[in-house]
Amino acid sequence: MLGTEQSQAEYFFERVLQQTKSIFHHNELILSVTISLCDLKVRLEFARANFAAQFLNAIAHLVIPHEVEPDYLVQIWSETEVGLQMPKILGSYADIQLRGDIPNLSNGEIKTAYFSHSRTLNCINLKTRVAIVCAKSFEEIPAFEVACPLRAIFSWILQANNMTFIHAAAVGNKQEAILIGGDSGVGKSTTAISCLQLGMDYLGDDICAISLKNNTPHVFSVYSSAKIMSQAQNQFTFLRPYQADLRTHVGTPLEKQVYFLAKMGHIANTKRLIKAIVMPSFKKPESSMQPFPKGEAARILSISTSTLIPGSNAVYLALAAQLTRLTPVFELNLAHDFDKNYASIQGLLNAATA
Amino acid sequence: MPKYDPQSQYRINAPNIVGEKFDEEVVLVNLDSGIYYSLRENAAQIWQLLTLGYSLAQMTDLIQKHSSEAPNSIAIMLGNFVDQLIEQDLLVPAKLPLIEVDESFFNAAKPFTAPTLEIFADMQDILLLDPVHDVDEQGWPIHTKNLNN
Repeated sequence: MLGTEQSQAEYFFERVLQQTKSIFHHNELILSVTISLCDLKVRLEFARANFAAQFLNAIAHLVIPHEVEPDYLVQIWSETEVGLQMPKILGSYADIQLRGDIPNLSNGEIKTAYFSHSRTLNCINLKTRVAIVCAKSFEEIPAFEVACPLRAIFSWILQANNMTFIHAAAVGNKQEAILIGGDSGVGKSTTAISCLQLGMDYLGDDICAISLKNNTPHVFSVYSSAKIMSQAQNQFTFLRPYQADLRTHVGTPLEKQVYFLAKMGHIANTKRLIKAIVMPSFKKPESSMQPFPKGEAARILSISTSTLIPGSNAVYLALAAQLTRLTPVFELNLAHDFDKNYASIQGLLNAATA
Repeated sequence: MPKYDPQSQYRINAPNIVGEKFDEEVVLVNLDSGIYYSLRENAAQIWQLLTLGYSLAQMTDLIQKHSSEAPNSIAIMLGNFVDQLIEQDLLVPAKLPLIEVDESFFNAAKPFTAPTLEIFADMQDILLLDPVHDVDEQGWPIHTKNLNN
């Protein structure tokens, strides 16, 4: 008898936790790495060292090189590598919602999600600050997940600390950054990478984290990966040394090439003040900037974020609304000449704060 | 057949519907369906009047004072709009204290045009593509293809 919804979530988490503890207790091949996730210390423990790179490549710029006391612990293992079955869900597949959330196994303290595209179970106890990721096989994790791994776990940690992911790219200087929002395919990656090429600091091309503490918007880099459409690769030859080899991954998207940029200069690992948000468009052949309606920007940011990350639409809309109220929003008409787009964004960074 | 009652008041269908107001736009989201809505300019003003407790009849009177449109035409435009809001489950009937707006609420320079409700069903598209349904109900997290092995 499982009783209330809360006890069901706790019961399931405890089962996963005990199984994970036994794996890590009997395992001599644990690799442990601590990262700085938006100023929170998160220790990642892998039951086998050989698959850790799949998770670490995109977040290598966040690794803390010395031993520190972590704020959160994330333990990661897979059925194939460990030789034990993933815990079975309490309920049926119908309990898994859009974006993977499992409300029956979640409450205020415990969050559970299952992603069938990567076949990973993700759960966290926000009170004890312990999270667990179990995968069927790490070779089954699609390439796009390798570019931005552990999204659900990181998202829960961020939200518990009044921060959140946002579907946006970000570039800037040492103090300030410009967020580049918009739907997939609108030009976020191309714009961000061309700005990196021309000397700006790079915080991400797809998913960044933001904090609105004290009504001051900051952006953090989480993933130093980049994704470029295959036909655009020749425009960014400087990325070639950083190209990821994802041939072993199922579902590798042929249309995009993934790069891991952690070892490149200009990869930011500290927060930046958000100076402005730009929403790219292709309405004119030349680069130009004009004010963009804040309501429309909030709606676009909210929808595109909620399609990528588990969580409540209400939270994402409220966050996007607050962000756009605090920050100037512009439509950036993208020119074919990257230098001109760079100059437009540099102009925003140089502009005096209102 | 109209769904609205001209004398009724309505409120936002919380907690299923949440919204944010901007200068000239109101953005709403249905948390059950994931559908987003945008109400701009006139539509945002009408939404605000509804949330302040104005009935359709009261809104028609108010707008008529600031518009050259015939009262009947205003009533039809408003009725169609409120019908849409009800149809999308954004509004439910309610009893509210009326908070009256002053003259500055309307921009006299702008003619009154039919308010429109923009619907963004992006999340619905994602639902259709949801890979979760590749998982078979006989076992979780057992993938359908593995059951055939």
